[in-house]
Amino acid sequence: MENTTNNSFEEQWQKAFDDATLPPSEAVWERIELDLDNNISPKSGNSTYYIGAIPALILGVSLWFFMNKKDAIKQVQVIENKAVIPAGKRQKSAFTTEEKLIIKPKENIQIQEVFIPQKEKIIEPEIVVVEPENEVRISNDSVEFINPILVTKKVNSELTNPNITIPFKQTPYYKIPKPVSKKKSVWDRFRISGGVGVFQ
Amino acid sequence: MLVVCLRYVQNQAEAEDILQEGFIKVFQNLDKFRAESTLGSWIKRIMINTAINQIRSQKHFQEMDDVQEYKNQVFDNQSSIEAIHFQELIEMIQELPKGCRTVFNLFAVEGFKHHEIAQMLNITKGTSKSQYSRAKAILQGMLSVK
Repeated sequence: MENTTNNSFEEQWQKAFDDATLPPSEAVWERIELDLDNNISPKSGNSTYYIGAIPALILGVSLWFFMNKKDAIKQVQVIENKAVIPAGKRQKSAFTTEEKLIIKPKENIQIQEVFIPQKEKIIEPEIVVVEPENEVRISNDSVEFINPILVTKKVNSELTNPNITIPFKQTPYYKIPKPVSKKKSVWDRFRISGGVGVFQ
Repeated sequence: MLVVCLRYVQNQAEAEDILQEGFIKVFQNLDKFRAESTLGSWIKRIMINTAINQIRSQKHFQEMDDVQEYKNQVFDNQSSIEAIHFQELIEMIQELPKGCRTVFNLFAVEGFKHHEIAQMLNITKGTSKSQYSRAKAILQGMLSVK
């Protein structure tokens, strides 16, 4: 019942204004015409300007983004330096790092390269490979020069020089000479036997 | 359309300002009319929105509160308005306070629901209902005198 009365109340008001009309004054239409003629709103057909402005806007935004990116990279470098090295201790820390990096490796390298060749230079001229055959020849020559009569005699002339050979063996490049076996001729293997005795 | 504008404001001059602004919007947005409704109802909706925006700018809706005294009031003496000319009815509506006048126009005359009115005026649904009850009570008092 309450709803019906309320609906009837509202319906009455709706019906009362359904066909209600009032003409506005002519001044209103004149003002509307003036407003439409002098329309300043952006919807009046200036869309070409906005369309033309879009590429310029995109270009501007991209340039701005590019420039900001460069600045951002520079700023990052500055911030890293400040963060790692404090202002007061900046020079000291820089020197210590250079000393560690540059000097110490050079010292290590020089020790290895310099001292070893000096030992070799001193020792190499003294190295004389003395083979037993040469020693025999030298001794024979000297004996012939002194006493040519005793040429046919064999001289036990193996020379040893303990003062020289001991340091040779200590050098890293020294190789102990291997004894070379004398090749015997084929005729040495034959034995000629006589009636009296055996000549070997 | 001038009648629509007159119901939302207090005098002819304000109504003509709303009418002028509303018609400029109509001519500027004619390309957006999609014939989903009649042209008259489309123009009427634009006029209502223009009036609401103008009233909203004056911040009358911020002062609206729930009015409990009119909420459950039953009107026994239902006086008929059929015999009353619409210009007199407009004058009665114009005498209402601004807040409840807008709610009454939107609910009783335009046919909006209270939750729609609450969205349009940025108020609560209860405020819309109470303001409508208040407007209805005032109008009933005016009609009973006549």
